[in-house]
Amino acid sequence: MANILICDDEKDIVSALKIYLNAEGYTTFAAYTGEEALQIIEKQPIHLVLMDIMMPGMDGVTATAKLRESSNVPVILLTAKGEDTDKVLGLNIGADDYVTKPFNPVELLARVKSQLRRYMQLGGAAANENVLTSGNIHLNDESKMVTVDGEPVNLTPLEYNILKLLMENQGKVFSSAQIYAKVWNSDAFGADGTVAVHIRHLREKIEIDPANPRYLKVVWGQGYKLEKGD
Amino acid sequence: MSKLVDNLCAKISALFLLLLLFAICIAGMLTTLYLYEENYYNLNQFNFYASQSCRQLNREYAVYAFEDYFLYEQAEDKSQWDTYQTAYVHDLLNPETSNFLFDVVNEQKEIVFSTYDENATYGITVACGTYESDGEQFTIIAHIRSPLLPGDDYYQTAYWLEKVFNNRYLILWCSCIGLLLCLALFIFLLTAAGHKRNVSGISLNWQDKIPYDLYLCLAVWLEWMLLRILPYYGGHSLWSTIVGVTLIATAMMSVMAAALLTTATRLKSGVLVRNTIIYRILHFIWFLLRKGARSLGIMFGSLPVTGKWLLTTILLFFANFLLFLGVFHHRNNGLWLFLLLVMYLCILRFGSIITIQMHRLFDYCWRLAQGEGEEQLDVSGMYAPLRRHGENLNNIGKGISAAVESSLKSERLKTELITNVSHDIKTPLTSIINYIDLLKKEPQTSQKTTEYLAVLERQSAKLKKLTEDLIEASKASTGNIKVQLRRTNVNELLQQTIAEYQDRFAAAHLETVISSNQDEIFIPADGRLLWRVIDNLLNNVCKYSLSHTRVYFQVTSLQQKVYISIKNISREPLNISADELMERFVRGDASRNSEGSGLGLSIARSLTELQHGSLHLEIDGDLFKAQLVFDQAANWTEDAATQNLEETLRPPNPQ
Repeated sequence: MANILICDDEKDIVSALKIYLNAEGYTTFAAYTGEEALQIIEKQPIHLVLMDIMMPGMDGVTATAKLRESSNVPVILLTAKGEDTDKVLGLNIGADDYVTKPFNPVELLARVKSQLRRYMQLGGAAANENVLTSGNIHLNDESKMVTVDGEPVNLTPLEYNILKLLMENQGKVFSSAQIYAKVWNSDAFGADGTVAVHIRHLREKIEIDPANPRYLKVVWGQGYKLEKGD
Repeated sequence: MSKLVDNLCAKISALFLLLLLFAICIAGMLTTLYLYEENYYNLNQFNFYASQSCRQLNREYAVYAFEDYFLYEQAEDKSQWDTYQTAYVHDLLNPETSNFLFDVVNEQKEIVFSTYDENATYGITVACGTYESDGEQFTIIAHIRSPLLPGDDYYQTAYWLEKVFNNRYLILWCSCIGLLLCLALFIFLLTAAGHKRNVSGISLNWQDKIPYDLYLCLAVWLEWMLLRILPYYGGHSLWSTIVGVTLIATAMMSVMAAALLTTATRLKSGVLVRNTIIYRILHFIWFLLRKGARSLGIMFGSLPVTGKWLLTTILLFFANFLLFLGVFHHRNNGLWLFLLLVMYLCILRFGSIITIQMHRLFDYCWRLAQGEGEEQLDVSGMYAPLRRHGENLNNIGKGISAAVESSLKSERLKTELITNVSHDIKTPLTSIINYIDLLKKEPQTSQKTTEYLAVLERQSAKLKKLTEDLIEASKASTGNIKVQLRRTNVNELLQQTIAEYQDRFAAAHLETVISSNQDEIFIPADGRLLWRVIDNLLNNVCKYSLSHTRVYFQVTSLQQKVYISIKNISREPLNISADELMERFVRGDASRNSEGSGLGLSIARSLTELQHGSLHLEIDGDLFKAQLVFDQAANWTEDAATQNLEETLRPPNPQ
């Protein structure tokens, strides 16, 4: 299937990850420093890298930066710090995603799958006027089909309409009242938490970790927005 | 040059050379003056007989000649006069040897006496004096030989005069060059004055140590005396005039040179004014005055403040009284009025200075009370009692800022420690959680294994939550979090938050009741942080609420303030005070069995305070009420807030 490189100086974490990934049918390679990781990538066809940030010798950020000079293989950072600045730095130097320690194995697997699917798809679905795309979310207005990371997602008509509205206006913040007016086509008076509840359900369906959404973001006290996809 | 300047021999020789040259120059210039008077610079041929010297000699000799004639007239026996040899009173008129031969002519133009020699030749015949004897006038006619016979004044004068005449241009030039040389030597001496070999700087010799005013008086007196004796040397003869004037001028020059040289030395070493008798006297008087004033000042300073005030008041009163007496009782009261005015101005000035300094002290004290005593008060220039007070205040300020600094430092260290330790705990925790998960997937051997694994899983999840909360709590309490205040809609945020919790509310059988007195209420807040505040509060609501009760959310906008309150009914009786609940690691249930770190409320409060809000808890029986208070965002702009934020986020000065 796919080759995954696990790079962490903690051997127990590497072997645990190996067990999980092998169980899913992936081939795994282990590296314990940044230098080792770079050497393995040169020799083996690697499809995804799990990289710890804090390592002796070359750290994960440096290794990722070096890796990006020659390859666009997806990189997921494993970070124990959980500082916003570390995340921003990691994503800026070319990492595709990050997971904070201690992580949930299920969530990690979901992210691995998501990144792999995106990488292996090579361009993805053909461009279609009726297909709205944001990151790995595709919304086909003809067939009313929504796929996330290639997997179809079942949405209620209201959820579908909300998602469509947000995907048509990526990056724009809508307040609950605005969404209610556009989707329900009636005055927002007395709508209370309806929109918020629907959005939460929608987020649970399209996000791997609804508490830390990648796409559908809550702008607290302002409204909601769909992150602009790349 | 510097070697020459230091050389004593060179200086002494220069001084002698200077005086010598000066004497020569003066002599040469006097001679030149004489030659100019004689008009010799316009004549090509030397003619002694027409010179003033010759005429001068004629006049002198004529006097002797008339005396001889007079004696001849008085003589009883005139026969012996015929020989001319022995009887002449003045041997220098002896016709045999003298160049001066004469006739005495009376009023009738008759020659009454004569030494005229017909065989001799004469350069000039001239009338050179008229004398009276017994009412009769006699004229002396002089005949001067040519060539002159050697031996008398005529010959000598003519001889020297001719030499001088022949060298008249040489003398002129020599004088001019000599003067220039004098000037150069003098400049050299001025430069060299005060320098000594092997001694750096200016050294003073004995005459530089004489008080300058005394020295100047002596020099001026000497010059004056020399000037006074100058006329005695003039007029006798050319040579004596030249020699005398030259000597006096040289003497005057040496006095002047000495005075100028010592002036130069004193100027160079800077003791010109200090080394005078007048200065010493004035200095001594000043010293006495100062010493007196100082001892008075010490006496005044040793008085207590009240004593000073009393003494000052009494003195001022007396001064005022005396001045008023002066104003009213003296005809010439302008001066008294002026003095009175001066005194009032002094009082005004002193009073205003005291007031300003006291104001500065009060101001600093006020700032100290506000906790802004980092910078020290500048106490220089203050009056002694006020300065002491200022120094005390400064010491207090120093103590306070040191205490604040050390507490800030320890707080920072604590945060750092917590962050680092939590980080180090996270890595093994990851392994623990992962391997528990893996173990769960292995075939379970017994019922107990499953049970124990469940405990492990629950406890590791708790540990995870605890480390995360710990980091957040320490960051929030030290303000180590970025805060971006924006206009935030409270109702919208509340709805979003409640939506997140809907499932948990449903699971706990809780009903939410939301009310707001306005549709849209805006507050300046960071939505992300405010969500975490309410997140923490709702977490508690879910954990501790009695099921099948209602949870009330109320947003009230009142007098520029916004109150957000969350009320719920506690499942367990709350036997703890609201203040205690807010402390870290304190939880509502004494058994501590439920999940949670006990940091939630502490985090919520810290985060609220970071957004310039406040969190209050109220416990009324089983009713638990949490209330957030914020300013309304009506008159609030983001620019101003950003600025405020930067100020609050600026790290404390290391000073």
